[in-house]
Amino acid sequence: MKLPSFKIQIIAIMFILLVLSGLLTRFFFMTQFNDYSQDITSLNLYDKVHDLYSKHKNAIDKEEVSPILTDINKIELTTYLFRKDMTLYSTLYVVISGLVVLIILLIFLTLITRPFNRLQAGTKKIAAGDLKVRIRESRFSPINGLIVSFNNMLEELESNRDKLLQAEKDMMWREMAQVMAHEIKNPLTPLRLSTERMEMKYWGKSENFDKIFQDSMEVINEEISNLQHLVKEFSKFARMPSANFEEYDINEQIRDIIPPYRGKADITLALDPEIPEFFGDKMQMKQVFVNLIQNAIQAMPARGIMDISSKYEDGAFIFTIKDSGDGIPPEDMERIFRPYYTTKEKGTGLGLSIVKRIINQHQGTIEVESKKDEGTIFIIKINLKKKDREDYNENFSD
Amino acid sequence: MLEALSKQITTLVIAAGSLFSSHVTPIFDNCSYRLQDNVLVFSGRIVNCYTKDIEQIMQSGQQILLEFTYRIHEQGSEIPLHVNSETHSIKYDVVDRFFTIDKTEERESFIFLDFNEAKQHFILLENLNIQHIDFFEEGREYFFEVTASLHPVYLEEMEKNIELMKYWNNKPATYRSPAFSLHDLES
Repeated sequence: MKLPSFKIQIIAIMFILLVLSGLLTRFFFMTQFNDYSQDITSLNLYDKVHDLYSKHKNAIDKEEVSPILTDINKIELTTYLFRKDMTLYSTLYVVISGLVVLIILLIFLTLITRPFNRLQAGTKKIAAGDLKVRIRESRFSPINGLIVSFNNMLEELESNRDKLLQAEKDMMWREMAQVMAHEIKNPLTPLRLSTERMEMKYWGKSENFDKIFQDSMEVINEEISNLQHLVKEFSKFARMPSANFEEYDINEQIRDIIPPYRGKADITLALDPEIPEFFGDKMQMKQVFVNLIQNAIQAMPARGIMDISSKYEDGAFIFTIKDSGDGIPPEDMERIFRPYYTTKEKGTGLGLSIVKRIINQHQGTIEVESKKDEGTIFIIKINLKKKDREDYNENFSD
Repeated sequence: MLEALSKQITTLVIAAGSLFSSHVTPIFDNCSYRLQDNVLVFSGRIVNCYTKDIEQIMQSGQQILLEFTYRIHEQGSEIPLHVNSETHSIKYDVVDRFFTIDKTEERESFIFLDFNEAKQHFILLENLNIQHIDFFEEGREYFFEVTASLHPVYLEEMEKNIELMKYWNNKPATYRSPAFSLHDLES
Protein backbone atom coordinates (compact mmCIF):
# COMPACT_ATOMS: atom_id res chain seq x y z
CA MET A 1 0.00 0.00 0.00
CA LYS A 2 1.36 3.38 -0.99
CA LEU A 3 1.74 5.76 1.95
CA PRO A 4 0.40 9.31 1.58
CA SER A 5 2.97 12.05 1.12
CA PHE A 6 4.99 13.39 4.03
CA LYS A 7 2.99 16.62 4.01
CA ILE A 8 -0.35 14.78 4.21
CA GLN A 9 0.91 12.57 7.02
CA ILE A 10 2.06 15.54 9.10
CA ILE A 11 -1.19 17.43 8.48
CA ALA A 12 -3.28 14.38 9.41
CA ILE A 13 -1.33 13.81 12.64
CA MET A 14 -1.44 17.49 13.60
CA PHE A 15 -5.16 17.71 12.82
CA ILE A 16 -5.96 14.67 14.98
CA LEU A 17 -3.86 16.08 17.84
CA LEU A 18 -5.49 19.46 17.50
CA VAL A 19 -9.04 18.10 17.48
CA LEU A 20 -8.25 15.89 20.45
CA SER A 21 -6.80 18.77 22.45
CA GLY A 22 -9.74 20.99 21.44
CA LEU A 23 -12.25 18.37 22.50
CA LEU A 24 -10.46 17.78 25.79
CA THR A 25 -10.36 21.54 26.50
CA ARG A 26 -14.03 21.84 25.62
CA PHE A 27 -14.90 18.83 27.74
CA PHE A 28 -12.99 20.24 30.72
CA PHE A 29 -14.58 23.71 30.60
CA MET A 30 -18.08 22.46 29.93
CA THR A 31 -17.87 20.00 32.82
CA GLN A 32 -16.74 22.77 35.14
CA PHE A 33 -19.44 25.12 33.99
CA ASN A 34 -22.16 22.48 34.18
CA ASP A 35 -21.15 21.83 37.78
CA TYR A 36 -21.53 25.53 38.67
CA SER A 37 -24.79 25.71 36.81
CA GLN A 38 -26.05 22.64 38.65
CA ASP A 39 -25.05 24.20 41.97
CA ILE A 40 -27.12 27.35 41.25
CA THR A 41 -30.16 25.31 40.23
CA SER A 42 -29.89 23.00 43.20
CA LEU A 43 -30.17 25.94 45.58
CA ASN A 44 -33.89 26.23 44.65
CA LEU A 45 -33.79 29.93 45.50
CA TYR A 46 -37.03 30.68 43.67
CA ASP A 47 -38.99 28.00 45.56
CA LYS A 48 -37.49 29.03 48.89
CA VAL A 49 -38.37 32.71 48.47
CA HIS A 50 -41.78 31.88 47.07
CA ASP A 51 -42.55 29.52 49.96
CA LEU A 52 -41.47 32.19 52.40
CA TYR A 53 -43.75 34.70 50.75
CA SER A 54 -46.65 32.22 50.74
CA LYS A 55 -46.22 31.63 54.47
CA HIS A 56 -46.00 35.30 55.33
CA LYS A 57 -48.29 36.75 52.67
CA ASN A 58 -49.85 39.16 55.10
CA ALA A 59 -46.51 40.48 56.32
CA ILE A 60 -44.67 40.78 53.03
CA ASP A 61 -45.69 43.11 50.26
CA LYS A 62 -45.98 41.44 46.82
CA GLU A 63 -44.25 44.40 45.21
CA GLU A 64 -41.21 43.74 47.38
CA VAL A 65 -40.90 40.04 46.67
CA SER A 66 -41.67 40.23 42.95
CA PRO A 67 -38.35 41.89 41.90
CA ILE A 68 -36.41 39.35 43.98
CA LEU A 69 -38.12 36.41 42.29
CA THR A 70 -37.66 38.06 38.91
CA ASP A 71 -33.95 38.48 39.59
CA ILE A 72 -33.60 34.86 40.69
CA ASN A 73 -35.26 33.82 37.46
CA LYS A 74 -32.94 36.15 35.58
CA ILE A 75 -29.90 34.39 37.08
CA GLU A 76 -31.23 30.97 36.18
CA LEU A 77 -32.20 32.15 32.71
CA THR A 78 -28.84 33.73 31.94
CA THR A 79 -27.04 30.68 33.31
CA TYR A 80 -29.12 28.47 31.06
CA LEU A 81 -28.53 30.67 28.01
CA PHE A 82 -24.83 31.06 28.78
CA ARG A 83 -24.43 27.29 28.93
CA LYS A 84 -26.03 26.99 25.52
CA ASP A 85 -23.83 29.76 24.14
CA MET A 86 -20.77 28.05 25.55
CA THR A 87 -21.74 24.84 23.78
CA LEU A 88 -21.87 26.78 20.53
CA TYR A 89 -18.72 28.81 21.09
CA SER A 90 -16.59 25.92 22.27
CA THR A 91 -17.63 23.91 19.23
CA LEU A 92 -16.87 26.84 16.98
CA TYR A 93 -13.58 27.25 18.80
CA VAL A 94 -12.52 23.71 18.03
CA VAL A 95 -13.56 23.96 14.38
CA ILE A 96 -12.21 27.45 13.63
CA SER A 97 -8.96 27.10 15.56
CA GLY A 98 -8.50 23.72 13.89
CA LEU A 99 -8.93 25.27 10.47
CA VAL A 100 -6.62 28.18 11.28
CA VAL A 101 -3.89 25.90 12.56
CA LEU A 102 -4.36 23.66 9.53
CA ILE A 103 -3.86 26.61 7.18
CA ILE A 104 -0.77 27.76 9.10
CA LEU A 105 0.52 24.20 9.07
CA LEU A 106 -0.11 23.89 5.36
CA ILE A 107 1.82 27.10 4.65
CA PHE A 108 4.63 26.07 6.95
CA LEU A 109 4.87 22.59 5.48
CA THR A 110 4.75 23.98 1.96
CA LEU A 111 7.68 26.25 2.85
CA ILE A 112 9.55 23.26 4.21
CA THR A 113 8.69 20.70 1.54
CA ARG A 114 9.03 22.95 -1.52
CA PRO A 115 12.84 23.00 -1.32
CA PHE A 116 12.76 19.21 -0.90
CA ASN A 117 10.63 18.92 -4.04
CA ARG A 118 13.05 21.21 -5.89
CA LEU A 119 15.93 19.06 -4.72
CA GLN A 120 14.13 15.94 -5.89
CA ALA A 121 13.40 17.44 -9.31
CA GLY A 122 17.00 18.66 -9.51
CA THR A 123 18.45 15.23 -8.73
CA LYS A 124 16.25 13.70 -11.46
CA LYS A 125 17.65 16.17 -14.00
CA ILE A 126 21.16 15.47 -12.80
CA ALA A 127 20.53 11.73 -13.12
CA ALA A 128 19.49 12.45 -16.72
CA GLY A 129 22.88 14.08 -17.27
CA ASP A 130 22.01 17.76 -16.88
CA LEU A 131 24.65 19.25 -14.63
CA LYS A 132 23.65 22.82 -15.44
CA VAL A 133 20.62 22.58 -13.17
CA ARG A 134 20.72 24.68 -9.98
CA ILE A 135 18.31 24.52 -7.03
CA ARG A 136 16.69 27.83 -6.11
CA GLU A 137 17.69 28.86 -2.64
CA SER A 138 15.03 29.42 0.05
CA ARG A 139 16.35 31.78 2.65
CA PHE A 140 13.75 30.75 5.26
CA SER A 141 14.02 27.03 4.66
CA PRO A 142 15.86 24.98 7.28
CA ILE A 143 17.58 23.06 4.48
CA ASN A 144 18.90 26.13 2.71
CA GLY A 145 22.45 25.21 3.79
CA LEU A 146 22.01 21.85 2.11
CA ILE A 147 20.80 23.55 -1.08
CA VAL A 148 23.82 25.87 -1.12
CA SER A 149 26.19 22.92 -0.64
CA PHE A 150 24.31 20.98 -3.31
CA ASN A 151 24.69 23.83 -5.80
CA ASN A 152 28.39 24.17 -4.96
CA MET A 153 28.79 20.45 -5.52
CA LEU A 154 27.10 20.81 -8.91
CA GLU A 155 29.44 23.66 -9.85
CA GLU A 156 32.37 21.43 -8.96
CA LEU A 157 30.93 18.45 -10.82
CA GLU A 158 30.24 20.51 -13.92
CA SER A 159 33.71 21.98 -13.86
CA ASN A 160 35.24 18.50 -13.42
CA ARG A 161 33.10 17.10 -16.21
CA ASP A 162 34.28 19.84 -18.58
CA LYS A 163 37.87 19.12 -17.61
CA LEU A 164 37.27 15.41 -18.14
CA LEU A 165 35.70 16.03 -21.53
CA GLN A 166 38.63 18.19 -22.50
CA ALA A 167 41.05 15.52 -21.27
CA GLU A 168 39.18 12.86 -23.26
CA LYS A 169 39.27 15.07 -26.32
CA ASP A 170 43.02 15.60 -25.89
CA MET A 171 43.50 11.90 -25.41
CA MET A 172 41.51 11.17 -28.57
CA TRP A 173 43.58 13.60 -30.56
CA ARG A 174 46.77 12.05 -29.19
CA GLU A 175 45.49 8.57 -30.04
CA MET A 176 44.48 9.73 -33.50
CA ALA A 177 47.86 11.33 -34.04
CA GLN A 178 49.53 8.10 -32.95
CA VAL A 179 47.35 6.03 -35.27
CA MET A 180 47.93 8.48 -38.13
CA ALA A 181 51.68 8.44 -37.51
CA HIS A 182 51.66 4.67 -37.33
CA GLU A 183 49.50 4.24 -40.41
CA ILE A 184 51.60 6.72 -42.40
CA LYS A 185 54.85 5.24 -41.10
CA ASN A 186 53.92 1.74 -42.30
CA PRO A 187 53.84 2.58 -46.05
CA LEU A 188 56.81 4.93 -45.71
CA THR A 189 59.29 2.05 -45.15
CA PRO A 190 58.43 0.16 -48.36
CA LEU A 191 58.30 3.53 -50.19
CA ARG A 192 61.76 4.48 -48.95
CA LEU A 193 63.13 0.96 -49.63
CA SER A 194 61.66 1.00 -53.15
CA THR A 195 63.09 4.42 -54.02
CA GLU A 196 66.50 3.54 -52.51
CA ARG A 197 66.57 0.28 -54.44
CA MET A 198 65.65 2.07 -57.69
CA GLU A 199 68.33 4.71 -57.06
CA MET A 200 70.97 2.12 -56.26
CA LYS A 201 70.14 0.03 -59.33
CA TYR A 202 70.00 3.12 -61.52
CA TRP A 203 73.44 4.43 -60.50
CA GLY A 204 74.83 0.87 -60.63
CA LYS A 205 73.63 0.59 -64.21
CA SER A 206 71.94 -2.68 -63.27
CA GLU A 207 70.93 -4.92 -66.13
CA ASN A 208 67.51 -5.76 -64.68
CA PHE A 209 66.74 -2.15 -63.78
CA ASP A 210 63.53 -2.22 -65.81
CA LYS A 211 62.19 -5.17 -63.84
CA ILE A 212 63.23 -3.60 -60.52
CA PHE A 213 61.74 -0.25 -61.59
CA GLN A 214 58.42 -1.95 -62.42
CA ASP A 215 58.33 -3.89 -59.12
CA SER A 216 59.23 -0.80 -57.11
CA MET A 217 56.62 1.32 -58.88
CA GLU A 218 53.98 -1.32 -58.07
CA VAL A 219 54.95 -1.16 -54.40
CA ILE A 220 54.95 2.64 -54.47
CA ASN A 221 51.53 2.81 -56.16
CA GLU A 222 50.05 0.27 -53.77
CA GLU A 223 51.32 2.16 -50.72
CA ILE A 224 50.06 5.45 -52.17
CA SER A 225 46.64 3.78 -52.65
CA ASN A 226 46.74 2.62 -49.02
CA LEU A 227 47.59 6.13 -47.88
CA GLN A 228 44.74 7.56 -50.00
CA HIS A 229 42.30 5.06 -48.48
CA LEU A 230 43.53 5.95 -45.00
CA VAL A 231 43.09 9.66 -45.62
CA LYS A 232 39.63 9.07 -47.12
CA GLU A 233 38.47 7.06 -44.11
CA PHE A 234 39.73 9.61 -41.60
CA SER A 235 38.25 12.38 -43.63
CA LYS A 236 34.88 10.61 -43.73
CA PHE A 237 34.90 10.18 -39.97
CA ALA A 238 35.88 13.79 -39.35
CA ARG A 239 33.28 15.21 -41.71
CA MET A 240 30.23 13.11 -41.06
CA PRO A 241 27.42 14.90 -42.92
CA SER A 242 24.31 16.06 -41.09
CA ALA A 243 21.44 13.59 -41.07
CA ASN A 244 18.72 13.77 -43.67
CA PHE A 245 15.62 12.31 -42.12
CA GLU A 246 12.76 10.69 -43.96
CA GLU A 247 10.16 8.01 -43.44
CA TYR A 248 10.83 4.76 -45.26
CA ASP A 249 10.46 0.99 -45.16
CA ILE A 250 13.53 -0.19 -43.29
CA ASN A 251 12.73 -3.90 -43.85
CA GLU A 252 13.00 -3.27 -47.57
CA GLN A 253 16.34 -1.52 -47.05
CA ILE A 254 17.71 -4.50 -45.09
CA ARG A 255 16.47 -6.92 -47.79
CA ASP A 256 18.22 -4.81 -50.46
CA ILE A 257 21.54 -4.83 -48.56
CA ILE A 258 21.72 -8.59 -48.04
CA PRO A 259 22.18 -10.14 -51.59
CA PRO A 260 25.93 -9.39 -52.09
CA TYR A 261 26.68 -11.14 -48.78
CA ARG A 262 24.64 -14.30 -49.38
CA GLY A 263 27.70 -16.01 -50.83
CA LYS A 264 29.78 -15.40 -47.71
CA ALA A 265 27.40 -16.55 -44.95
CA ASP A 266 24.09 -18.32 -44.38
CA ILE A 267 21.88 -15.34 -43.69
CA THR A 268 18.48 -15.69 -42.02
CA LEU A 269 16.09 -12.73 -42.00
CA ALA A 270 13.36 -12.40 -39.35
CA LEU A 271 11.82 -9.08 -40.28
CA ASP A 272 8.54 -8.15 -38.61
CA PRO A 273 6.15 -7.21 -41.44
CA GLU A 274 3.97 -5.19 -39.02
CA ILE A 275 6.60 -2.58 -38.10
CA PRO A 276 5.65 0.99 -39.02
CA GLU A 277 7.62 3.24 -41.34
CA PHE A 278 11.05 4.01 -39.96
CA PHE A 279 12.08 7.64 -39.50
CA GLY A 280 15.78 8.20 -40.09
CA ASP A 281 18.64 8.91 -42.48
CA LYS A 282 18.48 6.22 -45.16
CA MET A 283 22.14 6.49 -46.22
CA GLN A 284 23.46 6.48 -42.68
CA MET A 285 21.33 3.52 -41.67
CA LYS A 286 22.58 1.65 -44.73
CA GLN A 287 26.11 2.32 -43.52
CA VAL A 288 25.16 0.93 -40.09
CA PHE A 289 23.83 -2.34 -41.49
CA VAL A 290 26.66 -2.70 -44.03
CA ASN A 291 29.32 -2.15 -41.36
CA LEU A 292 27.74 -4.60 -38.94
CA ILE A 293 27.15 -7.25 -41.65
CA GLN A 294 30.73 -6.89 -42.91
CA ASN A 295 32.05 -7.19 -39.35
CA ALA A 296 29.93 -10.31 -38.85
CA ILE A 297 31.26 -11.88 -42.04
CA GLN A 298 34.83 -11.03 -41.08
CA ALA A 299 34.20 -12.67 -37.71
CA MET A 300 33.24 -15.91 -39.51
CA PRO A 301 36.13 -16.77 -41.90
CA ALA A 302 34.77 -20.28 -42.28
CA ARG A 303 31.26 -19.57 -43.66
CA GLY A 304 28.99 -19.16 -40.64
CA ILE A 305 25.41 -18.31 -39.83
CA MET A 306 24.08 -14.79 -39.58
CA ASP A 307 20.62 -13.90 -38.17
CA ILE A 308 19.18 -10.47 -38.83
CA SER A 309 15.89 -9.37 -37.26
CA SER A 310 13.67 -6.32 -36.93
CA LYS A 311 10.70 -5.66 -34.68
CA TYR A 312 8.72 -2.79 -33.16
CA GLU A 313 8.17 -2.93 -29.42
CA ASP A 314 6.98 -0.29 -26.89
CA GLY A 315 7.36 2.47 -29.47
CA ALA A 316 10.92 1.51 -30.42
CA PHE A 317 12.50 -0.18 -33.44
CA ILE A 318 14.77 -3.05 -32.44
CA PHE A 319 17.29 -4.54 -34.88
CA THR A 320 19.66 -7.41 -34.17
CA ILE A 321 22.61 -8.73 -36.20
CA LYS A 322 23.93 -12.01 -34.85
CA ASP A 323 26.91 -14.03 -36.08
CA SER A 324 28.24 -17.46 -35.17
CA GLY A 325 31.86 -16.36 -34.99
CA ASP A 326 34.43 -16.80 -32.23
CA GLY A 327 33.02 -13.94 -30.17
CA ILE A 328 34.74 -10.81 -28.86
CA PRO A 329 37.17 -11.26 -25.98
CA PRO A 330 35.78 -9.71 -22.78
CA GLU A 331 38.74 -7.34 -22.50
CA ASP A 332 37.86 -5.85 -25.92
CA MET A 333 34.14 -5.45 -25.32
CA GLU A 334 34.42 -2.02 -23.75
CA ARG A 335 36.72 -0.66 -26.44
CA ILE A 336 35.11 -1.80 -29.65
CA PHE A 337 33.15 1.43 -30.16
CA ARG A 338 36.15 3.66 -29.53
CA PRO A 339 37.57 5.38 -32.60
CA TYR A 340 40.80 3.91 -34.04
CA TYR A 341 40.44 0.75 -32.01
CA THR A 342 40.70 -2.36 -34.15
CA THR A 343 41.77 -5.96 -33.89
CA LYS A 344 42.01 -6.36 -37.67
CA GLU A 345 45.28 -6.20 -39.54
CA LYS A 346 43.99 -3.74 -42.12
CA GLY A 347 41.26 -1.94 -40.18
CA THR A 348 41.14 1.75 -39.31
CA GLY A 349 39.08 1.19 -36.17
CA LEU A 350 36.46 3.63 -37.31
CA GLY A 351 33.65 1.33 -38.49
CA LEU A 352 31.91 0.63 -35.18
CA SER A 353 32.68 4.12 -34.00
CA ILE A 354 30.83 5.50 -37.01
CA VAL A 355 27.96 3.05 -36.38
CA LYS A 356 27.63 4.22 -32.78
CA ARG A 357 27.74 7.83 -33.86
CA ILE A 358 24.96 7.30 -36.40
CA ILE A 359 22.81 5.44 -33.87
CA ASN A 360 23.35 8.26 -31.38
CA GLN A 361 22.28 10.73 -34.03
CA HIS A 362 19.06 8.73 -34.29
CA GLN A 363 18.65 9.05 -30.51
CA GLY A 364 19.10 5.31 -30.20
CA THR A 365 21.35 2.86 -28.45
CA ILE A 366 23.58 0.04 -29.60
CA GLU A 367 24.56 -2.84 -27.36
CA VAL A 368 26.74 -5.83 -27.91
CA GLU A 369 26.62 -9.27 -26.32
CA SER A 370 29.25 -11.87 -27.07
CA LYS A 371 30.15 -15.39 -25.95
CA LYS A 372 33.36 -17.17 -26.73
CA ASP A 373 32.94 -19.68 -29.57
CA GLU A 374 29.21 -18.92 -29.82
CA GLY A 375 29.21 -15.58 -31.54
CA THR A 376 28.26 -11.95 -31.14
CA ILE A 377 24.99 -10.10 -31.33
CA PHE A 378 24.56 -6.36 -31.88
CA ILE A 379 21.24 -4.92 -30.64
CA ILE A 380 20.10 -1.54 -31.91
CA LYS A 381 17.17 0.31 -30.34
CA ILE A 382 15.81 3.47 -31.96
CA ASN A 383 12.64 5.30 -30.92
CA LEU A 384 13.04 8.55 -32.82
CA LYS A 385 9.64 9.94 -33.91
CA LYS A 386 8.90 12.28 -36.78
CA LYS A 387 7.60 14.89 -34.35
CA ASP A 388 11.02 14.96 -32.64
CA ARG A 389 12.63 16.06 -35.88
CA GLU A 390 12.75 19.76 -35.06
CA ASP A 391 14.34 19.17 -31.69
CA TYR A 392 16.64 16.69 -33.26
CA ASN A 393 17.80 19.00 -36.05
CA GLU A 394 18.30 21.74 -33.52
CA ASN A 395 20.54 19.56 -31.39
CA PHE A 396 22.44 17.61 -34.03
CA SER A 397 22.40 19.65 -37.22
CA ASP A 398 26.02 20.58 -36.88
CA MET B 1 -8.86 6.23 23.26
CA LEU B 2 -10.79 5.77 20.01
CA GLU B 3 -13.93 5.17 22.04
CA ALA B 4 -13.40 8.39 23.98
CA LEU B 5 -12.75 10.24 20.75
CA SER B 6 -15.87 8.91 19.06
CA LYS B 7 -17.86 9.79 22.21
CA GLN B 8 -16.59 13.36 22.07
CA ILE B 9 -17.31 13.63 18.38
CA THR B 10 -20.82 12.28 18.97
CA THR B 11 -21.30 14.87 21.72
CA LEU B 12 -20.10 17.54 19.34
CA VAL B 13 -22.50 16.40 16.65
CA ILE B 14 -25.37 16.34 19.12
CA ALA B 15 -24.40 19.83 20.29
CA ALA B 16 -24.34 21.07 16.72
CA GLY B 17 -27.64 19.30 16.07
CA SER B 18 -29.21 20.91 19.11
CA LEU B 19 -28.10 24.29 17.77
CA PHE B 20 -30.08 23.64 14.65
CA SER B 21 -33.06 22.20 16.47
CA SER B 22 -33.28 25.25 18.73
CA HIS B 23 -34.18 27.30 15.67
CA VAL B 24 -37.62 27.22 14.15
CA THR B 25 -39.29 28.63 11.05
CA PRO B 26 -42.59 30.10 12.11
CA ILE B 27 -45.47 30.27 9.63
CA PHE B 28 -49.00 31.61 9.59
CA ASP B 29 -51.67 28.96 9.69
CA ASN B 30 -55.43 28.80 9.39
CA CYS B 31 -55.52 32.28 7.85
CA SER B 32 -58.66 33.94 6.54
CA TYR B 33 -59.86 37.42 5.68
CA ARG B 34 -63.34 38.84 5.15
CA LEU B 35 -65.47 41.94 5.42
CA GLN B 36 -66.93 42.56 8.81
CA ASP B 37 -68.97 45.71 9.35
CA ASN B 38 -67.39 47.26 6.25
CA VAL B 39 -63.92 46.54 7.56
CA LEU B 40 -61.44 44.05 6.07
CA VAL B 41 -60.47 41.77 8.96
CA PHE B 42 -57.82 39.08 9.15
CA SER B 43 -57.63 36.01 11.38
CA GLY B 44 -54.87 33.50 11.75
CA ARG B 45 -52.27 32.01 14.07
CA ILE B 46 -48.56 31.40 14.01
CA VAL B 47 -47.40 27.83 14.27
CA ASN B 48 -43.96 26.31 14.73
CA CYS B 49 -42.86 29.39 16.65
CA TYR B 50 -41.77 28.20 20.11
CA THR B 51 -38.40 26.84 21.12
CA LYS B 52 -37.28 25.62 24.50
CA ASP B 53 -35.30 28.82 24.97
CA ILE B 54 -38.27 31.05 24.17
CA GLU B 55 -40.39 29.09 26.63
CA GLN B 56 -37.71 29.44 29.30
CA ILE B 57 -37.62 33.19 28.77
CA MET B 58 -41.44 33.39 28.86
CA GLN B 59 -41.52 31.52 32.18
CA SER B 60 -38.77 33.65 33.72
CA GLY B 61 -41.10 36.63 34.17
CA GLN B 62 -39.67 38.74 31.36
CA GLN B 63 -42.18 40.50 29.18
CA ILE B 64 -42.16 39.27 25.59
CA LEU B 65 -43.53 41.38 22.76
CA LEU B 66 -44.82 40.00 19.47
CA GLU B 67 -45.43 42.66 16.85
CA PHE B 68 -47.74 42.12 13.89
CA THR B 69 -47.18 44.55 11.03
CA TYR B 70 -49.62 44.65 8.15
CA ARG B 71 -49.20 46.42 4.83
CA ILE B 72 -51.67 46.95 2.02
CA HIS B 73 -50.27 47.00 -1.51
CA GLU B 74 -51.75 47.56 -4.89
CA GLN B 75 -51.31 44.39 -6.92
CA GLY B 76 -47.95 44.51 -8.73
CA SER B 77 -46.42 47.13 -6.46
CA GLU B 78 -44.00 46.52 -3.63
CA ILE B 79 -44.60 49.98 -2.16
CA PRO B 80 -47.23 49.74 0.56
CA LEU B 81 -50.29 52.00 0.40
CA HIS B 82 -50.97 51.56 4.11
CA VAL B 83 -48.90 50.29 7.04
CA ASN B 84 -49.96 49.63 10.61
CA SER B 85 -49.03 47.33 13.45
CA GLU B 86 -50.45 45.68 16.55
CA THR B 87 -48.51 44.14 19.43
CA HIS B 88 -49.13 41.19 21.71
CA SER B 89 -47.37 41.01 25.05
CA ILE B 90 -47.07 38.16 27.51
CA LYS B 91 -45.72 38.38 31.04
CA TYR B 92 -45.50 35.81 33.78
CA ASP B 93 -46.34 36.87 37.28
CA VAL B 94 -43.54 35.24 39.26
CA VAL B 95 -45.33 35.71 42.57
CA ASP B 96 -48.87 34.55 41.76
CA ARG B 97 -47.80 32.29 38.90
CA PHE B 98 -50.11 33.26 36.05
CA PHE B 99 -49.64 34.69 32.57
CA THR B 100 -51.05 38.01 31.45
CA ILE B 101 -51.54 38.59 27.74
CA ASP B 102 -52.30 42.01 26.30
CA LYS B 103 -53.20 42.63 22.67
CA THR B 104 -53.29 46.18 21.37
CA GLU B 105 -56.02 45.30 18.87
CA GLU B 106 -58.26 44.22 21.78
CA ARG B 107 -59.18 46.31 24.79
CA GLU B 108 -58.94 43.68 27.55
CA SER B 109 -56.19 41.64 29.20
CA PHE B 110 -56.27 37.87 29.32
CA ILE B 111 -55.13 35.83 32.30
CA PHE B 112 -53.95 32.24 31.94
CA LEU B 113 -52.85 29.85 34.64
CA ASP B 114 -51.93 27.20 32.09
CA PHE B 115 -48.76 27.86 30.13
CA ASN B 116 -49.90 25.98 27.03
CA GLU B 117 -53.15 27.90 26.82
CA ALA B 118 -51.23 31.15 27.21
CA LYS B 119 -48.88 30.17 24.40
CA GLN B 120 -51.76 29.40 22.07
CA HIS B 121 -53.52 32.64 22.80
CA PHE B 122 -50.36 34.73 22.49
CA ILE B 123 -49.87 33.88 18.82
CA LEU B 124 -53.52 34.11 17.84
CA LEU B 125 -54.88 36.94 15.70
CA GLU B 126 -58.68 37.27 15.69
CA ASN B 127 -60.39 39.68 13.39
CA LEU B 128 -57.53 42.08 13.08
CA ASN B 129 -58.80 45.25 11.45
CA ILE B 130 -56.78 45.69 8.28
CA GLN B 131 -58.63 48.60 6.63
CA HIS B 132 -62.06 50.14 6.09
CA ILE B 133 -63.80 49.30 2.83
CA ASP B 134 -63.70 52.98 1.79
CA PHE B 135 -59.94 52.67 1.37
CA PHE B 136 -60.31 50.33 -1.59
CA GLU B 137 -61.17 51.74 -5.02
CA GLU B 138 -63.38 50.13 -7.59
CA GLY B 139 -61.54 48.38 -10.44
CA ARG B 140 -58.20 48.07 -8.69
CA GLU B 141 -56.60 44.99 -7.22
CA TYR B 142 -54.90 44.77 -3.86
CA PHE B 143 -53.15 42.38 -1.58
CA PHE B 144 -52.05 42.66 2.02
CA GLU B 145 -49.13 41.20 3.93
CA VAL B 146 -48.92 40.44 7.64
CA THR B 147 -45.56 39.87 9.30
CA ALA B 148 -44.89 38.84 12.87
CA SER B 149 -41.62 39.44 14.72
CA LEU B 150 -40.40 39.19 18.30
CA HIS B 151 -38.84 42.12 20.13
CA PRO B 152 -35.55 41.63 21.94
CA VAL B 153 -35.82 41.06 25.68
CA TYR B 154 -33.83 43.48 27.76
CA LEU B 155 -32.67 42.21 31.14
CA GLU B 156 -32.62 45.26 33.34
CA GLU B 157 -29.69 45.77 35.71
CA MET B 158 -27.80 43.06 33.83
CA GLU B 159 -27.76 45.32 30.76
CA LYS B 160 -28.15 42.31 28.53
CA ASN B 161 -30.27 41.93 25.43
CA ILE B 162 -31.63 38.61 24.31
CA GLU B 163 -32.35 38.63 20.61
CA LEU B 164 -35.42 36.44 20.34
CA MET B 165 -35.49 36.65 16.55
CA LYS B 166 -32.38 34.48 16.40
CA TYR B 167 -34.63 31.58 17.41
CA TRP B 168 -36.66 32.33 14.30
CA ASN B 169 -33.54 32.39 12.11
CA ASN B 170 -33.98 36.18 12.01
CA LYS B 171 -36.89 35.76 9.62
CA PRO B 172 -40.35 37.05 10.59
CA ALA B 173 -43.43 34.91 10.00
CA THR B 174 -45.20 36.26 6.93
CA TYR B 175 -48.62 35.91 5.40
CA ARG B 176 -49.39 37.31 1.94
CA SER B 177 -52.98 37.39 0.81
CA PRO B 178 -54.09 36.56 -2.72
CA ALA B 179 -54.95 39.54 -4.94
CA PHE B 180 -58.47 40.84 -4.40
CA SER B 181 -60.67 43.67 -5.57
CA LEU B 182 -63.42 45.62 -3.85
CA HIS B 183 -65.90 43.53 -5.78
CA ASP B 184 -64.31 40.32 -4.41
CA LEU B 185 -64.62 41.59 -0.85
CA GLU B 186 -68.26 42.57 -1.26
CA SER B 187 -69.36 39.37 -2.95
